[in-house]
Amino acid sequence: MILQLQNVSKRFGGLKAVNGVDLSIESGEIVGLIGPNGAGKTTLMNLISGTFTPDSGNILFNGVDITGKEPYEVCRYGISRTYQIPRPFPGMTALLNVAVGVLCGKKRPKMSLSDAMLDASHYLEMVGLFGKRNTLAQDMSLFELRSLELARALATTPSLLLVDEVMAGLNQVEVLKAIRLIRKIIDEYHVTILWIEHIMKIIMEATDRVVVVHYGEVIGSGLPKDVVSDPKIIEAYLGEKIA
Amino acid sequence: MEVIQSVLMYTVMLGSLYLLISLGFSLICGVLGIFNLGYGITFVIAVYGMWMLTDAFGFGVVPAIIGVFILQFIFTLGAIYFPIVKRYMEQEEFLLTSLLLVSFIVEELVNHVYPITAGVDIPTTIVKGTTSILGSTVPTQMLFVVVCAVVITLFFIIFLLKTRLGLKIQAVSQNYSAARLMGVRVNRIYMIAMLLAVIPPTVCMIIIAPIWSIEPKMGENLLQSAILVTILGGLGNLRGTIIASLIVGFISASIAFVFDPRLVNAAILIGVFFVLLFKPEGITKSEKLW
Repeated sequence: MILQLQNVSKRFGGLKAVNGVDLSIESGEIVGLIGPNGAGKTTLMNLISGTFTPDSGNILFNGVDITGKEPYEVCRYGISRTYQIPRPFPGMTALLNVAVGVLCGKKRPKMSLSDAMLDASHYLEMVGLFGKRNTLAQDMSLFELRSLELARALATTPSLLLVDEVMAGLNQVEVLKAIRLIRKIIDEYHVTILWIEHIMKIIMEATDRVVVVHYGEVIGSGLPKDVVSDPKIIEAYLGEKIA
Repeated sequence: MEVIQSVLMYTVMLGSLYLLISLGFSLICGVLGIFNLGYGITFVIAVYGMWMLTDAFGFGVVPAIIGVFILQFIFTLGAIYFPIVKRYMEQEEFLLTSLLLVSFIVEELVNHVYPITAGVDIPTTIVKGTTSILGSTVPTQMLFVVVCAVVITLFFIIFLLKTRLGLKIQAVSQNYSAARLMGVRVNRIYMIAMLLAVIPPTVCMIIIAPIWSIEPKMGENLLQSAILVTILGGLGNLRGTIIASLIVGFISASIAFVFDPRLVNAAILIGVFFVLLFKPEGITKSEKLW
Protein backbone atom coordinates (compact mmCIF):
# COMPACT_ATOMS: atom_id res chain seq x y z
CA MET A 1 0.00 0.00 0.00
CA ILE A 2 1.47 3.34 -1.06
CA LEU A 3 -0.81 5.74 0.84
CA GLN A 4 -2.91 5.26 3.91
CA LEU A 5 -5.01 7.91 5.66
CA GLN A 6 -6.14 6.85 9.13
CA ASN A 7 -9.04 8.77 10.67
CA VAL A 8 -7.70 12.10 9.34
CA SER A 9 -9.56 15.27 10.35
CA LYS A 10 -9.07 18.96 9.69
CA ARG A 11 -11.14 21.81 11.03
CA PHE A 12 -11.10 25.49 10.06
CA GLY A 13 -12.78 27.37 12.89
CA GLY A 14 -16.26 25.84 13.16
CA LEU A 15 -16.05 24.08 9.80
CA LYS A 16 -15.10 20.42 9.65
CA ALA A 17 -13.38 20.43 6.25
CA VAL A 18 -12.19 16.81 6.57
CA ASN A 19 -13.80 14.54 9.12
CA GLY A 20 -12.35 11.17 10.11
CA VAL A 21 -11.28 10.13 6.63
CA ASP A 22 -9.88 6.63 6.11
CA LEU A 23 -8.41 6.05 2.69
CA SER A 24 -5.99 3.52 1.24
CA ILE A 25 -4.37 3.57 -2.18
CA GLU A 26 -2.43 0.67 -3.66
CA SER A 27 0.75 1.25 -5.63
CA GLY A 28 -0.01 1.78 -9.32
CA GLU A 29 -3.70 2.59 -8.78
CA ILE A 30 -5.42 5.50 -10.52
CA VAL A 31 -7.95 6.75 -8.00
CA GLY A 32 -10.54 9.40 -8.78
CA LEU A 33 -11.55 11.68 -5.94
CA ILE A 34 -14.97 13.18 -6.53
CA GLY A 35 -17.55 15.14 -4.60
CA PRO A 36 -19.57 18.35 -4.79
CA ASN A 37 -17.89 21.73 -4.48
CA GLY A 38 -16.71 22.35 -0.92
CA ALA A 39 -16.73 18.62 -0.10
CA GLY A 40 -13.13 18.73 1.16
CA LYS A 41 -11.31 17.19 -1.82
CA THR A 42 -8.64 19.87 -2.17
CA THR A 43 -8.23 20.08 1.62
CA LEU A 44 -7.54 16.35 1.57
CA MET A 45 -4.85 16.89 -1.05
CA ASN A 46 -3.40 19.75 0.99
CA LEU A 47 -3.22 17.44 4.01
CA ILE A 48 -1.47 14.71 2.04
CA SER A 49 1.00 17.16 0.46
CA GLY A 50 1.87 18.75 3.81
CA THR A 51 0.35 22.17 3.11
CA PHE A 52 -2.00 21.62 6.07
CA THR A 53 -1.32 19.57 9.17
CA PRO A 54 -4.19 17.30 10.26
CA ASP A 55 -5.83 18.06 13.63
CA SER A 56 -5.99 14.32 14.22
CA GLY A 57 -5.24 11.06 12.46
CA ASN A 58 -2.21 9.76 10.60
CA ILE A 59 -0.97 9.80 7.03
CA LEU A 60 1.32 6.95 6.03
CA PHE A 61 3.28 6.90 2.80
CA ASN A 62 4.98 3.63 1.91
CA GLY A 63 4.55 2.70 5.57
CA VAL A 64 6.29 5.86 6.83
CA ASP A 65 4.31 8.29 8.97
CA ILE A 66 4.44 11.64 7.14
CA THR A 67 1.82 13.37 9.30
CA GLY A 68 2.82 16.98 9.94
CA LYS A 69 5.89 16.84 7.70
CA GLU A 70 6.85 20.01 5.85
CA PRO A 71 5.74 20.15 2.19
CA TYR A 72 9.34 19.96 0.96
CA GLU A 73 9.87 16.79 3.00
CA VAL A 74 6.66 15.24 1.65
CA CYS A 75 7.84 16.04 -1.86
CA ARG A 76 11.19 14.37 -1.17
CA TYR A 77 9.40 11.28 0.10
CA GLY A 78 7.88 11.05 -3.38
CA ILE A 79 4.53 12.86 -3.37
CA SER A 80 3.97 15.62 -5.88
CA ARG A 81 0.93 17.61 -6.89
CA THR A 82 -0.59 19.92 -9.47
CA TYR A 83 -3.00 22.76 -8.79
CA GLN A 84 -6.44 23.58 -10.12
CA ILE A 85 -5.19 27.15 -10.63
CA PRO A 86 -1.63 26.75 -11.97
CA ARG A 87 1.09 28.17 -9.73
CA PRO A 88 4.13 28.57 -11.94
CA PHE A 89 7.18 30.71 -11.29
CA PRO A 90 5.88 33.41 -13.66
CA GLY A 91 9.10 35.23 -14.44
CA MET A 92 11.06 32.04 -15.14
CA THR A 93 11.19 30.10 -18.40
CA ALA A 94 9.40 26.77 -18.73
CA LEU A 95 12.80 25.05 -18.63
CA LEU A 96 13.81 26.70 -15.34
CA ASN A 97 10.37 26.02 -13.85
CA VAL A 98 10.90 22.31 -14.40
CA ALA A 99 14.60 22.43 -13.44
CA VAL A 100 13.60 23.51 -9.91
CA GLY A 101 11.65 20.26 -9.59
CA VAL A 102 14.58 18.25 -10.94
CA LEU A 103 16.98 19.81 -8.42
CA CYS A 104 14.76 19.73 -5.36
CA GLY A 105 12.54 16.68 -5.67
CA LYS A 106 12.98 13.16 -4.34
CA LYS A 107 16.55 12.92 -3.07
CA ARG A 108 18.99 12.32 -5.87
CA PRO A 109 22.74 12.75 -6.18
CA LYS A 110 23.95 16.34 -6.40
CA MET A 111 23.12 17.29 -9.93
CA SER A 112 24.70 20.23 -11.72
CA LEU A 113 22.50 23.02 -13.03
CA SER A 114 23.29 22.11 -16.64
CA ASP A 115 22.39 18.44 -16.06
CA ALA A 116 19.18 19.55 -14.35
CA MET A 117 18.30 21.67 -17.40
CA LEU A 118 18.93 18.69 -19.66
CA ASP A 119 16.72 16.51 -17.50
CA ALA A 120 14.08 19.26 -17.39
CA SER A 121 14.01 19.44 -21.19
CA HIS A 122 13.08 15.71 -21.32
CA TYR A 123 10.07 16.36 -19.09
CA LEU A 124 9.07 19.31 -21.28
CA GLU A 125 9.35 17.11 -24.34
CA MET A 126 7.19 14.52 -22.59
CA VAL A 127 4.35 17.04 -22.05
CA GLY A 128 4.77 18.62 -25.47
CA LEU A 129 6.32 21.88 -24.32
CA PHE A 130 9.87 21.46 -25.60
CA GLY A 131 9.27 24.16 -28.21
CA LYS A 132 8.22 26.52 -25.43
CA ARG A 133 11.20 25.79 -23.19
CA ASN A 134 12.48 29.37 -23.35
CA THR A 135 9.04 30.97 -22.95
CA LEU A 136 8.32 32.68 -19.65
CA ALA A 137 5.56 30.95 -17.71
CA GLN A 138 3.66 34.24 -17.48
CA ASP A 139 3.31 34.22 -21.28
CA MET A 140 1.83 30.70 -21.52
CA SER A 141 -1.79 29.69 -22.15
CA LEU A 142 -3.88 27.86 -19.52
CA PHE A 143 -3.40 24.52 -21.27
CA GLU A 144 0.34 25.07 -21.52
CA LEU A 145 0.48 26.01 -17.83
CA ARG A 146 -1.40 22.84 -16.91
CA SER A 147 1.07 20.81 -18.96
CA LEU A 148 3.92 22.69 -17.29
CA GLU A 149 2.45 21.84 -13.87
CA LEU A 150 2.49 18.16 -14.82
CA ALA A 151 6.08 18.42 -16.08
CA ARG A 152 7.17 20.14 -12.86
CA ALA A 153 5.42 17.55 -10.74
CA LEU A 154 6.99 14.67 -12.71
CA ALA A 155 10.42 16.30 -12.46
CA THR A 156 10.41 15.69 -8.72
CA THR A 157 10.21 11.94 -9.58
CA PRO A 158 7.11 11.19 -7.51
CA SER A 159 5.70 7.76 -6.71
CA LEU A 160 2.34 9.37 -5.99
CA LEU A 161 0.97 12.19 -8.11
CA LEU A 162 -1.89 14.31 -6.81
CA VAL A 163 -3.76 15.85 -9.74
CA ASP A 164 -6.21 18.63 -8.88
CA GLU A 165 -8.80 19.36 -11.62
CA VAL A 166 -6.33 19.43 -14.46
CA MET A 167 -9.18 19.73 -17.00
CA ALA A 168 -10.92 22.77 -15.46
CA GLY A 169 -11.30 25.67 -17.87
CA LEU A 170 -9.98 23.75 -20.89
CA ASN A 171 -11.91 23.51 -24.18
CA GLN A 172 -12.90 20.15 -25.66
CA VAL A 173 -9.82 19.79 -27.84
CA GLU A 174 -7.55 20.65 -24.90
CA VAL A 175 -9.40 18.20 -22.63
CA LEU A 176 -8.71 15.40 -25.14
CA LYS A 177 -5.06 16.42 -25.29
CA ALA A 178 -4.86 16.49 -21.49
CA ILE A 179 -6.40 13.01 -21.22
CA ARG A 180 -3.86 11.70 -23.74
CA LEU A 181 -1.09 13.35 -21.74
CA ILE A 182 -2.16 11.80 -18.44
CA ARG A 183 -2.47 8.38 -20.08
CA LYS A 184 1.04 8.82 -21.46
CA ILE A 185 2.29 9.71 -17.97
CA ILE A 186 0.62 6.62 -16.51
CA ASP A 187 2.10 4.37 -19.23
CA GLU A 188 5.62 5.77 -19.10
CA TYR A 189 6.12 6.58 -15.43
CA HIS A 190 3.84 4.03 -13.74
CA VAL A 191 3.03 6.53 -11.01
CA THR A 192 0.12 6.12 -8.64
CA ILE A 193 -2.41 8.91 -9.16
CA LEU A 194 -5.00 10.48 -6.90
CA TRP A 195 -7.08 12.59 -9.25
CA ILE A 196 -9.70 15.21 -8.42
CA GLU A 197 -11.94 15.75 -11.43
CA HIS A 198 -15.45 17.08 -12.03
CA ILE A 199 -15.86 15.66 -15.53
CA MET A 200 -17.41 12.26 -14.74
CA LYS A 201 -16.79 10.86 -18.22
CA ILE A 202 -13.06 11.21 -17.66
CA ILE A 203 -13.22 9.69 -14.20
CA MET A 204 -15.26 6.76 -15.56
CA GLU A 205 -12.81 6.06 -18.36
CA ALA A 206 -9.46 6.81 -16.78
CA THR A 207 -9.60 5.64 -13.16
CA ASP A 208 -9.43 2.21 -11.53
CA ARG A 209 -11.41 3.25 -8.50
CA VAL A 210 -13.43 6.22 -7.34
CA VAL A 211 -13.63 7.68 -3.84
CA VAL A 212 -16.54 9.99 -3.10
CA VAL A 213 -16.23 12.75 -0.51
CA HIS A 214 -19.13 14.78 0.91
CA TYR A 215 -19.07 17.23 3.82
CA GLY A 216 -15.52 16.17 4.56
CA GLU A 217 -16.34 12.45 4.86
CA VAL A 218 -15.81 9.53 2.52
CA ILE A 219 -19.32 8.37 1.60
CA GLY A 220 -18.42 5.77 -0.99
CA SER A 221 -15.62 3.98 -2.75
CA GLY A 222 -15.47 1.41 -5.52
CA LEU A 223 -15.37 0.78 -9.24
CA PRO A 224 -16.44 3.84 -11.24
CA LYS A 225 -19.52 2.13 -12.72
CA ASP A 226 -20.71 0.99 -9.27
CA VAL A 227 -20.12 4.35 -7.63
CA VAL A 228 -22.14 6.36 -10.17
CA SER A 229 -25.17 4.11 -9.67
CA ASP A 230 -25.05 4.32 -5.86
CA PRO A 231 -28.18 6.25 -4.68
CA LYS A 232 -26.26 7.81 -1.77
CA ILE A 233 -23.78 9.32 -4.18
CA ILE A 234 -26.40 10.50 -6.64
CA GLU A 235 -28.14 12.17 -3.70
CA ALA A 236 -24.94 13.93 -2.65
CA TYR A 237 -24.46 15.28 -6.15
CA LEU A 238 -28.05 15.95 -7.30
CA GLY A 239 -30.16 16.17 -4.16
CA GLU A 240 -32.55 13.86 -2.31
CA LYS A 241 -35.59 14.19 -4.61
CA ILE A 242 -33.80 13.04 -7.74
CA ALA A 243 -32.07 10.21 -5.89
CA MET B 1 30.43 71.38 -19.63
CA GLU B 2 32.41 71.05 -16.43
CA VAL B 3 29.21 70.85 -14.41
CA ILE B 4 27.82 68.11 -16.68
CA GLN B 5 31.03 66.10 -16.31
CA SER B 6 30.93 66.49 -12.54
CA VAL B 7 27.26 65.53 -12.39
CA LEU B 8 27.91 62.41 -14.49
CA MET B 9 30.87 61.36 -12.38
CA TYR B 10 29.04 61.88 -9.11
CA THR B 11 26.00 60.10 -10.55
CA VAL B 12 28.16 56.99 -10.94
CA MET B 13 29.74 57.37 -7.49
CA LEU B 14 26.58 58.20 -5.58
CA GLY B 15 24.62 55.66 -7.64
CA SER B 16 27.14 52.99 -6.58
CA LEU B 17 26.80 54.11 -2.99
CA TYR B 18 22.99 53.90 -3.13
CA LEU B 19 23.31 50.50 -4.76
CA LEU B 20 25.45 49.15 -1.92
CA ILE B 21 23.03 50.66 0.58
CA SER B 22 19.93 49.17 -1.10
CA LEU B 23 21.01 45.85 -2.61
CA GLY B 24 20.53 43.80 0.57
CA PHE B 25 17.22 45.44 1.43
CA SER B 26 16.00 44.80 -2.10
CA LEU B 27 17.04 41.13 -1.97
CA ILE B 28 15.10 40.56 1.26
CA CYS B 29 12.14 42.38 -0.21
CA GLY B 30 12.27 40.19 -3.32
CA VAL B 31 12.84 36.84 -1.64
CA LEU B 32 11.01 37.13 1.67
CA GLY B 33 8.45 39.62 0.42
CA ILE B 34 8.85 41.89 3.45
CA PHE B 35 10.21 45.34 4.22
CA ASN B 36 12.98 44.59 6.68
CA LEU B 37 12.52 47.60 8.94
CA GLY B 38 15.48 46.44 11.01
CA TYR B 39 17.83 46.71 8.02
CA GLY B 40 19.25 50.07 9.22
CA ILE B 41 21.01 48.44 12.13
CA THR B 42 23.22 46.48 9.70
CA PHE B 43 25.06 49.71 8.88
CA VAL B 44 25.50 50.57 12.56
CA ILE B 45 26.83 47.11 13.42
CA ALA B 46 29.26 47.29 10.49
CA VAL B 47 30.78 50.57 11.63
CA TYR B 48 30.68 50.21 15.41
CA GLY B 49 31.55 46.51 15.21
CA MET B 50 34.62 47.44 13.18
CA TRP B 51 35.54 50.13 15.66
CA MET B 52 34.97 47.87 18.65
CA LEU B 53 37.17 45.13 17.17
CA THR B 54 40.02 47.50 16.28
CA ASP B 55 39.84 49.93 19.19
CA ALA B 56 38.69 47.82 22.14
CA PHE B 57 40.02 44.40 21.12
CA GLY B 58 43.11 45.57 19.25
CA PHE B 59 42.40 43.59 16.06
CA GLY B 60 44.35 44.41 12.90
CA VAL B 61 42.38 45.70 9.91
CA VAL B 62 42.03 42.39 8.06
CA PRO B 63 41.03 40.31 11.15
CA ALA B 64 38.62 43.10 12.09
CA ILE B 65 37.00 43.03 8.64
CA ILE B 66 36.59 39.24 8.88
CA GLY B 67 35.37 39.66 12.46
CA VAL B 68 32.76 42.23 11.53
CA PHE B 69 31.31 39.92 8.87
CA ILE B 70 31.16 37.11 11.42
CA LEU B 71 29.49 39.51 13.85
CA GLN B 72 26.91 40.48 11.21
CA PHE B 73 26.16 36.84 10.38
CA ILE B 74 25.82 35.89 14.05
CA PHE B 75 23.55 38.88 14.70
CA THR B 76 21.44 38.14 11.62
CA LEU B 77 20.95 34.49 12.58
CA GLY B 78 20.83 34.85 16.36
CA ALA B 79 18.83 38.04 16.78
CA ILE B 80 16.88 38.35 13.55
CA TYR B 81 16.35 35.12 11.62
CA PHE B 82 15.80 32.38 14.23
CA PRO B 83 13.94 34.32 16.94
CA ILE B 84 11.87 36.57 14.65
CA VAL B 85 11.72 35.81 10.93
CA LYS B 86 11.48 32.03 11.14
CA ARG B 87 8.85 32.13 13.89
CA TYR B 88 6.67 35.01 12.77
CA MET B 89 6.92 34.99 8.97
CA GLU B 90 3.17 34.46 8.68
CA GLN B 91 2.37 37.36 11.06
CA GLU B 92 3.67 40.28 9.05
CA GLU B 93 2.66 43.14 11.39
CA PHE B 94 4.28 41.46 14.38
CA LEU B 95 7.32 40.54 12.32
CA LEU B 96 7.95 44.09 11.10
CA THR B 97 7.40 45.59 14.56
CA SER B 98 9.81 43.07 16.08
CA LEU B 99 12.48 43.85 13.47
CA LEU B 100 12.11 47.55 14.18
CA LEU B 101 12.25 46.95 17.93
CA VAL B 102 15.47 44.93 17.73
CA SER B 103 16.93 47.65 15.58
CA PHE B 104 16.04 50.33 18.15
CA ILE B 105 17.41 48.28 21.03
CA VAL B 106 20.78 47.77 19.33
CA GLU B 107 20.90 51.40 18.24
CA GLU B 108 20.29 52.59 21.81
CA LEU B 109 22.88 50.15 23.10
CA VAL B 110 25.44 51.50 20.65
CA ASN B 111 24.45 55.04 21.54
CA HIS B 112 25.01 54.22 25.21
CA VAL B 113 28.42 52.65 24.72
CA TYR B 114 29.62 54.94 21.92
CA PRO B 115 27.74 58.25 22.18
CA ILE B 116 27.99 60.72 19.29
CA THR B 117 30.54 62.72 21.26
CA ALA B 118 32.88 59.72 21.42
CA GLY B 119 33.78 60.08 17.74
CA VAL B 120 34.65 57.12 15.54
CA ASP B 121 37.89 56.39 13.77
CA ILE B 122 37.70 53.42 11.39
CA PRO B 123 41.12 52.39 10.05
CA THR B 124 39.89 51.10 6.70
CA THR B 125 41.27 53.83 4.48
CA ILE B 126 42.61 52.00 1.44
CA VAL B 127 44.04 55.05 -0.33
CA LYS B 128 44.40 58.44 1.28
CA GLY B 129 43.95 61.75 -0.51
CA THR B 130 41.94 62.81 -3.52
CA THR B 131 41.83 62.05 -7.22
CA SER B 132 40.92 64.35 -10.07
CA ILE B 133 38.55 62.84 -12.64
CA LEU B 134 36.80 64.76 -15.43
CA GLY B 135 37.79 68.01 -13.81
CA SER B 136 36.36 67.12 -10.40
CA THR B 137 38.24 66.24 -7.27
CA VAL B 138 36.92 63.26 -5.28
CA PRO B 139 38.25 61.27 -2.32
CA THR B 140 40.11 58.34 -3.84
CA GLN B 141 38.36 56.06 -1.34
CA MET B 142 35.07 56.80 -3.14
CA LEU B 143 36.37 55.04 -6.24
CA PHE B 144 36.46 51.82 -4.23
CA VAL B 145 32.75 52.23 -3.59
CA VAL B 146 32.21 52.06 -7.36
CA VAL B 147 34.50 49.03 -7.72
CA CYS B 148 32.84 47.19 -4.82
CA ALA B 149 29.33 48.01 -6.06
CA VAL B 150 30.16 46.56 -9.49
CA VAL B 151 31.87 43.45 -8.06
CA ILE B 152 29.14 42.68 -5.50
CA THR B 153 26.32 43.31 -7.98
CA LEU B 154 27.98 41.03 -10.54
CA PHE B 155 28.41 38.39 -7.82
CA PHE B 156 24.72 38.63 -6.93
CA ILE B 157 23.62 38.39 -10.57
CA ILE B 158 25.87 35.43 -11.41
CA PHE B 159 24.96 33.69 -8.15
CA LEU B 160 21.23 34.10 -8.75
CA LEU B 161 21.24 33.21 -12.44
CA LYS B 162 23.94 30.57 -12.72
CA THR B 163 23.88 28.46 -9.57
CA ARG B 164 21.58 25.77 -8.17
CA LEU B 165 21.02 27.77 -5.02
CA GLY B 166 20.32 30.91 -7.07
CA LEU B 167 17.64 29.05 -9.02
CA LYS B 168 15.97 27.98 -5.77
CA ILE B 169 16.11 31.56 -4.47
CA GLN B 170 14.48 32.77 -7.71
CA ALA B 171 11.77 30.13 -7.36
CA VAL B 172 10.99 31.10 -3.76
CA SER B 173 10.88 34.78 -4.69
CA GLN B 174 8.28 34.10 -7.37
CA ASN B 175 6.01 31.59 -5.66
CA TYR B 176 7.10 30.29 -2.29
CA SER B 177 4.14 27.95 -1.81
CA ALA B 178 4.77 26.21 -5.14
CA ALA B 179 8.51 26.10 -4.42
CA ARG B 180 8.09 24.31 -1.09
CA LEU B 181 5.77 21.75 -2.67
CA MET B 182 8.49 21.07 -5.24
CA GLY B 183 10.99 20.21 -2.53
CA VAL B 184 12.60 23.60 -1.86
CA ARG B 185 13.43 24.24 1.81
CA VAL B 186 11.95 27.70 1.89
CA ASN B 187 13.15 28.54 5.42
CA ARG B 188 16.71 27.72 4.43
CA ILE B 189 16.42 29.97 1.38
CA TYR B 190 15.12 32.79 3.61
CA MET B 191 18.09 32.33 5.90
CA ILE B 192 20.58 32.39 3.02
CA ALA B 193 18.94 35.50 1.54
CA MET B 194 19.22 37.28 4.89
CA LEU B 195 22.89 36.36 5.20
CA LEU B 196 23.62 37.53 1.66
CA ALA B 197 21.77 40.76 2.35
CA VAL B 198 24.25 41.91 5.00
CA ILE B 199 27.23 41.73 2.63
CA PRO B 200 26.65 44.93 0.55
CA PRO B 201 25.91 47.28 3.50
CA THR B 202 28.86 45.90 5.48
CA VAL B 203 31.26 46.40 2.57
CA CYS B 204 29.76 49.82 1.95
CA MET B 205 30.31 50.98 5.53
CA ILE B 206 33.83 49.56 5.76
CA ILE B 207 34.83 51.66 2.74
CA ILE B 208 32.80 54.77 3.38
CA ALA B 209 33.18 55.06 7.17
CA PRO B 210 36.65 56.72 7.14
CA ILE B 211 35.34 59.61 5.03
CA TRP B 212 31.79 59.85 6.32
CA SER B 213 29.98 61.28 9.27
CA ILE B 214 29.32 58.40 11.66
CA GLU B 215 26.81 58.35 14.51
CA PRO B 216 24.60 55.69 16.15
CA LYS B 217 21.41 56.99 14.49
CA MET B 218 22.83 56.78 10.97
CA GLY B 219 20.89 53.57 10.22
CA GLU B 220 17.56 55.39 10.04
CA ASN B 221 18.58 57.65 7.15
CA LEU B 222 20.23 54.78 5.30
CA LEU B 223 17.14 52.60 5.77
CA GLN B 224 15.08 55.43 4.31
CA SER B 225 17.36 55.59 1.26
CA ALA B 226 17.20 51.80 0.83
CA ILE B 227 13.39 51.85 0.98
CA LEU B 228 13.14 54.65 -1.59
CA VAL B 229 15.53 52.99 -4.04
CA THR B 230 13.83 49.60 -3.63
CA ILE B 231 10.35 51.02 -4.18
CA LEU B 232 11.55 52.96 -7.21
CA GLY B 233 13.27 49.85 -8.58
CA GLY B 234 10.18 47.65 -8.33
CA LEU B 235 10.19 46.02 -4.88
CA GLY B 236 12.92 43.46 -4.96
CA ASN B 237 13.99 43.42 -8.58
CA LEU B 238 17.79 43.73 -8.69
CA ARG B 239 17.88 45.14 -12.22
CA GLY B 240 15.39 47.77 -11.09
CA THR B 241 17.46 48.45 -7.97
CA ILE B 242 20.56 49.15 -10.10
CA ILE B 243 18.66 51.55 -12.37
CA ALA B 244 16.92 53.19 -9.40
CA SER B 245 20.26 53.67 -7.62
CA LEU B 246 21.65 55.47 -10.65
CA ILE B 247 18.52 57.62 -10.96
CA VAL B 248 18.73 58.59 -7.29
CA GLY B 249 22.47 59.17 -7.72
CA PHE B 250 21.76 61.43 -10.70
CA ILE B 251 19.13 63.42 -8.80
CA SER B 252 21.52 63.82 -5.84
CA ALA B 253 24.45 64.88 -8.05
CA SER B 254 22.54 67.27 -10.27
CA ILE B 255 20.67 68.98 -7.41
CA ALA B 256 23.85 69.29 -5.36
CA PHE B 257 25.86 70.77 -8.24
CA VAL B 258 23.24 72.86 -9.98
CA PHE B 259 21.13 74.03 -7.02
CA ASP B 260 21.81 73.39 -3.35
CA PRO B 261 23.04 70.23 -1.56
CA ARG B 262 20.48 70.87 1.18
CA LEU B 263 17.70 70.17 -1.34
CA VAL B 264 18.95 66.70 -2.27
CA ASN B 265 16.69 64.65 0.06
CA ALA B 266 13.57 66.56 -0.93
CA ALA B 267 14.49 66.27 -4.63
CA ILE B 268 14.92 62.48 -4.33
CA LEU B 269 11.48 62.15 -2.73
CA ILE B 270 9.88 64.31 -5.41
CA GLY B 271 11.67 62.34 -8.15
CA VAL B 272 10.49 59.00 -6.74
CA PHE B 273 6.98 60.44 -6.31
CA PHE B 274 6.74 61.39 -9.99
CA VAL B 275 8.16 58.11 -11.28
CA LEU B 276 5.65 56.16 -9.17
CA LEU B 277 2.84 58.43 -10.35
CA PHE B 278 3.35 57.20 -13.91
CA LYS B 279 4.76 53.74 -13.10
CA PRO B 280 3.13 52.61 -9.84
CA GLU B 281 4.83 49.20 -9.93
CA GLY B 282 8.26 50.85 -10.05
CA ILE B 283 10.81 50.70 -12.84
CA THR B 284 10.64 46.93 -13.32
CA LYS B 285 8.11 44.22 -12.56
CA SER B 286 8.48 42.94 -9.04
CA GLU B 287 7.89 39.18 -9.56
CA LYS B 288 11.41 38.64 -10.86
CA LEU B 289 14.62 39.04 -8.90
CA TRP B 290 16.44 39.94 -12.12
